[in-house]
Amino acid sequence: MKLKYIFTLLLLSLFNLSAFAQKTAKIYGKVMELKTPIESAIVLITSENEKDIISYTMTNKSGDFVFDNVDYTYAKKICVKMIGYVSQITHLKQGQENYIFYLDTQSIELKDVTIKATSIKASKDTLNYLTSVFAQKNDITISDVLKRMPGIEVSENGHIKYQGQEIKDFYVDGSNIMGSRYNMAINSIKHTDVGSVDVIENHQSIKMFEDLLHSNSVALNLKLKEKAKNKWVGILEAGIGGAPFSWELNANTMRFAEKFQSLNTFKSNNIGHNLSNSSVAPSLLFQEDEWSKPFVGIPAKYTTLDFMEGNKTLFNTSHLLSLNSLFKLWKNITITPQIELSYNRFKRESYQQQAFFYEDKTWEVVKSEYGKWGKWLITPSIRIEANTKKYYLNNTVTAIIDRNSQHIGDIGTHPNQQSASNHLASVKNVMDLMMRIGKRTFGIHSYTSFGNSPQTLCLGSKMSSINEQIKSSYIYSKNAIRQTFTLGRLTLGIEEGLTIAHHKLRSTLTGLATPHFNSNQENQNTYNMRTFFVDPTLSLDLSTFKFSISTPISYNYYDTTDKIDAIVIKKMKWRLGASLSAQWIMNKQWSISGNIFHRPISNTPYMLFNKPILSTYPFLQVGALQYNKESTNSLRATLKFKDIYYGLLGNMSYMYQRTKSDLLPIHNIENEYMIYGSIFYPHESCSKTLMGNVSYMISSIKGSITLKGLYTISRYQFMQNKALNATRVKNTQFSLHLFSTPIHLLQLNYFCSLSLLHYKQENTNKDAHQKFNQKFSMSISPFKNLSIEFIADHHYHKLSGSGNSKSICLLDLNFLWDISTQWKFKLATTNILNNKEFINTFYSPTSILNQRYELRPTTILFSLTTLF
Amino acid sequence: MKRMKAQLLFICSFIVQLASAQAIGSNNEIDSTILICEYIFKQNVDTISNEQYHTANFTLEIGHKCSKYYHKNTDKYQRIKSDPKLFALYSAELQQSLTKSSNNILNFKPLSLEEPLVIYNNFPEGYRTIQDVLFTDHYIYTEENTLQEWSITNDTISILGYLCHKAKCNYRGRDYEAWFTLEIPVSKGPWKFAGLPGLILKVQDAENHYSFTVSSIIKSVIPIEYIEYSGRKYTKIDRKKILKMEIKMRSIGLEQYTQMGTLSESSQLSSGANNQNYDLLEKDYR
Repeated sequence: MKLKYIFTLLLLSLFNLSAFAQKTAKIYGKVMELKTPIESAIVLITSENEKDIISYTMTNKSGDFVFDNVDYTYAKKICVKMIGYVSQITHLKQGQENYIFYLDTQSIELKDVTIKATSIKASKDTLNYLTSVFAQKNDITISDVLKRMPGIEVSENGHIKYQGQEIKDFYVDGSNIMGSRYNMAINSIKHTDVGSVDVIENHQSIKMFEDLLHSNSVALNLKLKEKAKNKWVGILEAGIGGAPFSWELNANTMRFAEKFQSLNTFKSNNIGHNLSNSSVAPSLLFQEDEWSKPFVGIPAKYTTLDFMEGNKTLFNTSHLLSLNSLFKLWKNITITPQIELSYNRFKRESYQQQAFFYEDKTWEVVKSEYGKWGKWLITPSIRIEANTKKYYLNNTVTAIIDRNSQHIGDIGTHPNQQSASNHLASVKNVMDLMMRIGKRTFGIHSYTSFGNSPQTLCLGSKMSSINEQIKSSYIYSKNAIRQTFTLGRLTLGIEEGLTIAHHKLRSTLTGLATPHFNSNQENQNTYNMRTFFVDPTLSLDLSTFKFSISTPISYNYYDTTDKIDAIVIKKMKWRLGASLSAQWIMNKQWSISGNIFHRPISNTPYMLFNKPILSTYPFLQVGALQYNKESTNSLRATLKFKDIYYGLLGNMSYMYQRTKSDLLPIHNIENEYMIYGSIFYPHESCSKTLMGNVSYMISSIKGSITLKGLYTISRYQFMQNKALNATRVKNTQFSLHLFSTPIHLLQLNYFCSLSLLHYKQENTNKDAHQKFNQKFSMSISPFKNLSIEFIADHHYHKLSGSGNSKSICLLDLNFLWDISTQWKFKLATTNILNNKEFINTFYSPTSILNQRYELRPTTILFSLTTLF
Repeated sequence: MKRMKAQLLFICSFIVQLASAQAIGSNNEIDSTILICEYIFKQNVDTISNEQYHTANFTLEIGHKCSKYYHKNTDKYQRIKSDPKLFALYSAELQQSLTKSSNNILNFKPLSLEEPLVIYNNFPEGYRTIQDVLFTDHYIYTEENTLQEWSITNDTISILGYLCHKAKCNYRGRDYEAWFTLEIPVSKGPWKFAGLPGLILKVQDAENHYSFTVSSIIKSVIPIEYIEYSGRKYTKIDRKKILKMEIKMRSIGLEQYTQMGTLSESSQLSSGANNQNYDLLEKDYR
C-alpha cells in the first residue's frame, strides 16, 4: 500500500514537472516588410487583455527576435509594433516556437497630429513611394495614385515615365509577370493592395550583369501588402445606364503566392473606353521589332481623335480579356503564359473640310463621313525565364492575330463608299541564353519573326470602282553571340552575328484612272537583306562616374527585285556607327548624363515598290526602288535632381538631332488624288529640344505640383507639286498638374496644358496655333461615406492668322457612396451640358483640316463596385 | 522696442538661414527624421534648499536608425560661429541692439554656447557619439550603445494624451523611472535613454534631481546631420575622464565667471555647483 502511495506521488510529481516544462518555452521569429527584414521593430508578449506587458524585445538587423523563457501562464499574445507600420497581434500557441510577421506600411493616427510613414524614402538607387500618402478617397486602381507621385507620369494608355524616362521593367512584388503588358496591370490592381511603389534607377534586369554592366534603365516595382497575397483579390465593377443604353463591366482578379501568380482582367463597355490600345510600351519594343511589319498598310484601323479623352468622343462596343500567369517550376525557372483577346467596334459621324495649299492653287476636299470599324486582336505569348547570378535564360514566343475592317460612306467633293480590311498574323520568338564564369560572360541571342498580312480595299463611286488586294509577308532572323570580359572597372562587351530578312509584296489595283497611272497596277516585289555585324562596347564604372563607348560595324548586302518590270537592284555596303554615353552621379541629389551617337539607319523595305498603292481614298502611295542612305547624329544631355526630404524632383534635357537622308517626301495633287511618296533628293533635317519638369510636394496644401515645359525647333524639307519647301516649326508647351487635399472633406485635382505652335515656311508668313486645355476635378464629402465629384474639362484653340478661336467646356458630375469598405456605389453623369459636337482644327503650313465630330450625349450610369 | 526686437529676431533668423546654407564644418546626413520631439530638461542645482532649478529645451530628432539629442539654440550659435563673417555680422547686430536699447540691456536672450551637449544614439551603428564643451574646449567620445535594463510596472499615467506605462532602471549610479507610450512604437527617448517598447515621454531620477519631460511631438522629415563644426578642435576623450574633468572644472568655472562679472544661466548653474549639493547625471565616474 505504501509502495502504491509512493508510486502515485512520483507519478504526480512527474506530471507536474512535465506540465511545468510545457509552461515555459523559447519563442523566436522574424519581422519583415515583404522580403525585407525590419530592424528595431518592437515585439511584445502581453496578457490576454493586452494591458500587461510580460516581456518585450527589439528585432535585430536581420529582423529576428528571441524570447528565451516565455511563461504561458501569463503570456497569451504576441504583438509587433513599429512606427509607420500596422501593428500585428496574434495569440501564442503552445508548441509553436517560430512566429513570422509581415508588416504593412500605413499612416498612423496619433493624438492631434497625423504621423505618417515617410512618404518617399530613398536608398541607393531605389525611391520608395508610400501609396497611402498619395491616394485620394475616390481612387480605385494603382494607376490613379501613381499619377500623383512626384516624378512619375502615367500616359492615358497606361505607360509610365519616371523623371522623363520611360520605365523598362515592371514588377509586381518583384515578379515580372506582365512583361511588356504592364499597362494592363496598373489599371487592374487596386491601390489598397499596394503598400508602396519602388522606382529603381540604374536597374540591371539581368542578375548576372549586376556587378559587371552599368544600366541607366528605370524599373518600377509594386510592393503588395501581405493581406493581398496568397489569396484571390480584385475589383468587380458593373454599371448600367441610359440615354443611350450604356454599360460597363470590369472584373480584375489577382493572386500572388510564392509558386503561382496570376493577374486576370475582363473589361467590357460601350461608354467610350477604348480597349484596343493596350499596346506594348515603346521602350519595351526590341529594335528588331521594327522589321516585324508587312510592306505597306491600308489604314483600316480606327484612329482616335487625340484632342480629347476617348470617353468624350468615342462611340464603341469593346470587350477585352487578359489572362496572365506565372508559375515557378523549380528554384530559378519561371514560366509565364499570357493571352490578351480583344474585340472592338467603333462608329463615327464626322464632317471634314481639308484644304491643301499650293503656290498656284488650293486643293480642297469636303466630306461628310459615316464610318464603322471592327478590330479583333489576339496576342498569346509564353515566356520561360531563369534569371540567376550564374546564368540567364529567356525564351519568349509571341503570336499576333490582328484583324481590322472598316466601312466608310462619304458624301462631299468625292462621294464614295469604301470597305477595307487589314489583317496580320505573325509569330515571334526571342531567345537569350547566357552564362557567367568568374567575371566573363558568354551567350547567344536569337530573334526570329515571320508574318503574313493580307489587305483589301473596295471603293465604289459614281465615276469608278476601285479594287485593291495586297499580300505582304516577311521573315526576319537575327542571331548573335555575346561576350563580356571584365578587368577591374573596365568591361569589354562584344556582340557579333548575322541578320537575314526576306520581305515579299504582291499587290493588284484595278479601276484607277489618272494621267500617270492606268487602270491596272500590279506589284510583285521581293526584298532580301543579309547583314554581318560586330558591335564592341567598352564600359568604365567608377562608382559615381560611368562611361561607355560603342562602335558597331556592319557589312550589308541588299537585293530587291521587281518581277513585273524585271528590275533587280543589288547593293553591298559597309556601315560604321559610334556612340558614347556617360553618367556622373554628383551626390545624392544631382546627377548628369549624356550621350552622343552617329548611327547609320538600316533600310527597312516598306517603301521599296514601284507601282502605286491606294492606302485610303484619295491618298495614293507611291514607292521608290531606291535605297535610302540615311544616318542620324544625335546628342542628348540630361540633368536630374531629387531631394526626397522636400519631395522635390526635377530634370532638364537638351536634345539635338540631325538626320541626313537621300529620299525626300513628296505630296502631289493629280486629279482627285493626293499622291505621296518619296523621290531621290539628298537633304537634311534637324531638331533641337529643351525639356524639363519639376515636381514638388507641398505639405501646407497636402498635395504636390508638377510643372512641365518643352521647347522644340525643327526644320525639315519636303516637295509639294514639284516645289521644294523648307519649314521651320517651333513648339512650346507648358503643363501644370496640381493635387491637394486641403481639408479632409475636400480633394482637388487640376491639370492644364498650353501649346504654342509656330510655323515658318519659306516665302510665306508666320503662322501660329495656340491650344489650351484644362481639367479640374473637385471632390467634396459632406458625409463620411458620400462624395460628390465635379469634373470640368475645358478646351480652347486659336489660329493666329485667322483670329479664329474655338472653345468648349464639358462637365461631369459623379455621386459616390461607400456602402461599406467593400461595396461602393457610383452614379456618373457625363456631359451634363449635353454638348453635341466639337470642331477641331489641325494646322500645318501646307494644309488645314477642320474636323467636326459628335460628342457623346448626356449619359447616366449607375455602377456598383466590390473590392475583395 | 517691440519693433526693434522683431527686427533683430528677423535679422537673427536670416543669419541663421544664411549660416545653414554655408559650410558649417564636416557634416553629413546620417539618417532622416520620422518624429521630432522637444523635451524640457530640468535639473535641481541646489539639492539642499531644493529651490534652484536649471531648465533647458532639448530637441530629439528620431530617425529610422539613429537619433540626435541636442539644444537648438546652441546649434544655431555654433553654426554662426563656424563662419567668421557671419559671426562678425551677428556680433555687430548685438552691439547695435545694445547701443539702441535705453538701459544697455538686451531684452532677449542672445545665442550662446548654452547647452553644448550633443548625443548621437546608434551612430556609428552599435555605438553612441557624444560631443560636449567644457568652457571653450570641444570634446568627443564614443561609447557602446548599451541600453538600460528596464523593468516594466503596471502603473499608467497620461502625458500629452498618450497612455504611458511606467518602467524603472538603474543607470550609471542613479535610479530612474520612465514613462513610455506603446502608442508611439519607437524605442527611443531623451538623452541616452532608450530600449523601451515605446517612446519615452518622461523620465526622472528617484531623487528628482534630473527630469526630462516631453513638451511636443511633431511629424517632420528632415535630414539628421552629424556635425563637427568647423574652426573647432575636437579632442577625443574617454567618458569617465570627461566626467571627472567636468565635475572638477565647474568650480574653476565659477571663479572665472565671477571674475568676468557676467550673469548668465551658466553662472547661475555654477553658483551653487559644489560636490556637496549636486552631482552629475552620470555618477559612475568616481
